[in-house]
Amino acid sequence: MTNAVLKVSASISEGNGNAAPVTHSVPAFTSSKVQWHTISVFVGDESGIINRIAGVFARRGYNIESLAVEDISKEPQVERELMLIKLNVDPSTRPEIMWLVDIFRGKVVDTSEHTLTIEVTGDPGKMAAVLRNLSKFRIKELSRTGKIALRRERMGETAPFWRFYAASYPDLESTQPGDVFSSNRANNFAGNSNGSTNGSTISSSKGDVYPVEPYDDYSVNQVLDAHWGVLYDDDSSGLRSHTLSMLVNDSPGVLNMVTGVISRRGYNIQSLAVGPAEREGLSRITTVIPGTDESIGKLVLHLHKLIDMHEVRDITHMPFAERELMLIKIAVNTAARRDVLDIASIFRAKAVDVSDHTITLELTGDLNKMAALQRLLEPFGICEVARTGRVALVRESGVDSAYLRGYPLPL
Amino acid sequence: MASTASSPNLSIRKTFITTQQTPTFKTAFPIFTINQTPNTHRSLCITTASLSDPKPKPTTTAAASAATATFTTAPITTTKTTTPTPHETFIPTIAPQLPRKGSDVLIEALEREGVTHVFGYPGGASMEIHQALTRSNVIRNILPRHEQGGIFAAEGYAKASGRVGVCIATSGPGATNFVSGLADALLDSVPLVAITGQVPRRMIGTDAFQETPIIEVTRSITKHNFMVLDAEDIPRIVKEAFYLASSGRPGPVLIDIPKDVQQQLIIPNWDMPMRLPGYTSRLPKSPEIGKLEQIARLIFQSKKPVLYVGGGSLNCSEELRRFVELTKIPVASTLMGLGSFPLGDELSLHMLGMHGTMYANYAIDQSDLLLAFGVRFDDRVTGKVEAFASRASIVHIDIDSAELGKNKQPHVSLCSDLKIALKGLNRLLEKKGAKSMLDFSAWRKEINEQKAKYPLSYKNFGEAIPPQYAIQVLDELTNGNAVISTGVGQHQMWSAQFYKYKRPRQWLTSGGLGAMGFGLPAAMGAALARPNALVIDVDGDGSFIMNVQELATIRTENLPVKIMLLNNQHLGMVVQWEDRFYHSNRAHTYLGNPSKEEIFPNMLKFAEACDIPAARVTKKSKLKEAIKKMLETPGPYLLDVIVPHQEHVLPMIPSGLSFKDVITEGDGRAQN
Repeated sequence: MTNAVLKVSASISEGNGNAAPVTHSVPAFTSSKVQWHTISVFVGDESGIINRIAGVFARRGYNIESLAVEDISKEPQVERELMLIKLNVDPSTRPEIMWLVDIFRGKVVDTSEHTLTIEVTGDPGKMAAVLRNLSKFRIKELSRTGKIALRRERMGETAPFWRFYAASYPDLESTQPGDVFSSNRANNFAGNSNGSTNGSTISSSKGDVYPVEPYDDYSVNQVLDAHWGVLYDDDSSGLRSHTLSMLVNDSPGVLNMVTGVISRRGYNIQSLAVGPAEREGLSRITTVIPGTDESIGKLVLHLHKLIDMHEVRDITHMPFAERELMLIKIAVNTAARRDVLDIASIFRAKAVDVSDHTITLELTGDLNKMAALQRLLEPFGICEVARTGRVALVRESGVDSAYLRGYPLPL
Repeated sequence: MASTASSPNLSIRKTFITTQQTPTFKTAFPIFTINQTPNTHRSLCITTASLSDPKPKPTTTAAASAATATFTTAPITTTKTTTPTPHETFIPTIAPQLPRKGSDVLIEALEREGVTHVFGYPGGASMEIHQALTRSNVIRNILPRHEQGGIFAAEGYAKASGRVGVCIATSGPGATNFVSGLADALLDSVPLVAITGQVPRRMIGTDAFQETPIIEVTRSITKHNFMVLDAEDIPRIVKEAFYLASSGRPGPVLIDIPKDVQQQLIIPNWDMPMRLPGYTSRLPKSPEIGKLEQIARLIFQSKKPVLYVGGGSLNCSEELRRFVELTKIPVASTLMGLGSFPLGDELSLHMLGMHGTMYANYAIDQSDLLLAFGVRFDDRVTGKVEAFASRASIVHIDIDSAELGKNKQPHVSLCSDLKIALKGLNRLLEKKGAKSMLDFSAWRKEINEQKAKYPLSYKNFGEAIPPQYAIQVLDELTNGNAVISTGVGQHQMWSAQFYKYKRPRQWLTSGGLGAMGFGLPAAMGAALARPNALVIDVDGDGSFIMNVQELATIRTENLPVKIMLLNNQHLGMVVQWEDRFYHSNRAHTYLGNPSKEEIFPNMLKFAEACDIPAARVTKKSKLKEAIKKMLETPGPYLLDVIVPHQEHVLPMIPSGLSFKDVITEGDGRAQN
């Protein structure tokens, strides 16, 4: 199931401990020579792929050429990171916090009597500054994505469509392999194998070393589309996207261990965001996995068995604030730039880089917003997308805006 | 029997430790003082046998192991103790202020954990460790002839004693040879610490000579693994490794140590605390009384209760017996749980599951209350999960919360150390006067009818030796007191069915993984762990030859391991499946030499090559005598018992099916 369409663009920055925990795979004894490398990795959307990538890092080897990696750390680049911070507030400190939020151009996502959850985006330097300023108010919870980066375009160059020329750039709209497609394929496969091996299947199901299930009720691992495959509400089978929030030791290989538990059982990770947590030496992993309540419940129990795991919570059924950061580079000449900027302003996206043939936008929001913006920009030609994966914190206010949508406003 | 004395004592040992364990330890062999005799109605505050004066390292096996077999390596304390290690009991080889190599720190750390035997096979990246081992007065290295033999031996050691087994290998191929053993230990929950060498730190990731990313490879088949990147961490990591291996649900832990870390000179800090906050906070707490009362209530309400006990009950045999004494509920055991309740007892239903007895499976099928204690509803036991115990309410007690509801949804589940839960239950039942009030005699009568109707049986064919009979004779002649290890296959199932285990840790087998070649090395480990016990490896010809090289170890270490081969020249279990489901088409399951008539390979010559006395028996009338001779010959002995390959292990519930589909008749002689 190799899709030509690039599904996930994960950016893993490797350095001395600022982004993903894999970064700590750099052994201490070489710390004098440590340099920062920003590596953006494009991978197929398969269950287990993140695990394999994390494995490569955790193993501390650098032979990752085979994964089609382009090292862009030498190039000028746009770096962004997203952070959700839950702070303890009381009436006396609230004005000062609001003032700081304003300075750092943060946004308040949730507020309750004693807490305030804010969202900040920016480069790693800004993040450090934000944390330094806010640390005196006692940070209650912190969920942070790794850093994502896109190369800044130089003026006057012909726009490289990230290995595609304008003509050959795949039309995302028409080749969108939705769930329908993949399930069709699974059915075809099932049909074939059933037809050809009909007799033997039945006879061997009576006495095999392992119980043999009839093929048709075995759905071949549904590969869900990382962009749009999110299931907000249970479908008939009870399958839906579950958001797990985990607190793990910040040690080499921990990401691999976590993703290993998930992929070993055939779950596909829809989103994964890793970043340092509120306490030193701990990382918070926020991940989104499709499954039924029951199967995810079992998965959580298995995650609990990891020694480096401090806490796992399935926050799907609690009201939570969810944010994702996207950097998107659009091929656009000066004539069409106005249109793109119009769309951007509707979505409150910010332009972070501009050249005569491209424009790079930064957008934060929940998944639907990302999807909507990307759909609208597709006609212009999207060169690159880098997304952080979702970070989420439980809303202290207990209000879930999703539940409010269905109610008509009183007249 | 000597083993009788030591095993109950060992059976109350740790493995399930609920609270923090203090890493005490000692260099010297303690004298065996029975301050923890098999009496166990008292609380869990068990302390180690007191330590004696340091003694010189004994040179003979027997003496060394005599001491070791009777003391426990780590104390169990129910109270949280933070007192530092009693250093005065520990006489370090190197003065504490002097710098020493990382490898010496490692060995001293092992000594502090009470390790006395390791199974290490040296190589380029682990030479330093072996050099340091030669400087230890306490730890004896047993040199296996293959790393897989080493790790299986460590497993046998751990299974037979309940202590943590330790094995050492070099990087690369040495480390990858550990893989089967680690997977086996994880599936069977065996406390094990495996130590591997690794290429120097700066060469990691360069595809250096004998480099494998063993941490990556073993991540999903260990409970946890560590790579040591600084020798300063060795004391802490070793402490954590032993704690992880033996606490909660036990399992294998791997420590990977690059060679330059082994050579790094440091002054160790032994007081570094463990850093396992997440893990320790999740260890099961003592069971809530409400849950226990709920279980007791279910017992009082039920008419047809049955116990389904597994590997989790190996450490609480006493409590289990008491529980059965109070309630008179019949006990069915899994393959892993054999021996925790004596199989000779009239309430024992023997083994359940695919090759379990008819009456055990009948009882499960008919029961209205299934007490699943320390089990994991494995597919070999349940068959079709939906049909398993379909009439019963299920109570599931396990130390691993991930097992509760994994395969079958219980009505009452309790995540707890079974020992503590059973103690609580027993107290509750005593208080309620269960002994006089509970009466399941009608139910027992029903089961006894089944017992009489479908006993375990086999047929005789002239002078040919039925393999089941060979095991029966062995049981008779050893009075059910031997420690039995097995490979995997038909002989394993027959050893489970026809040998009447009396105590836990008498039965060493590769259950979950089903790793052939387990028997011989495991017997080796058991012989070291329990030098006074009679250790017999009941093996198949296929399994035996998979780790046949360990005969050399047995000879050189003078381990009194008896080997009884059930030689049918075939891969028996697979042949059985071929007979049943593949029209007897032999697909590479014949292990003999097709161009010759005689028995091949000649196992006696393997024994002869290793200077081990051996004999072959082919006639039923000569069998008893031959086994007697095997048992009477001091030291190791190989008995090659030639058995027909047409025998089938019965009864049998083909996988994925339920009790009503049980097969009780037929063998390879009848063409079906």
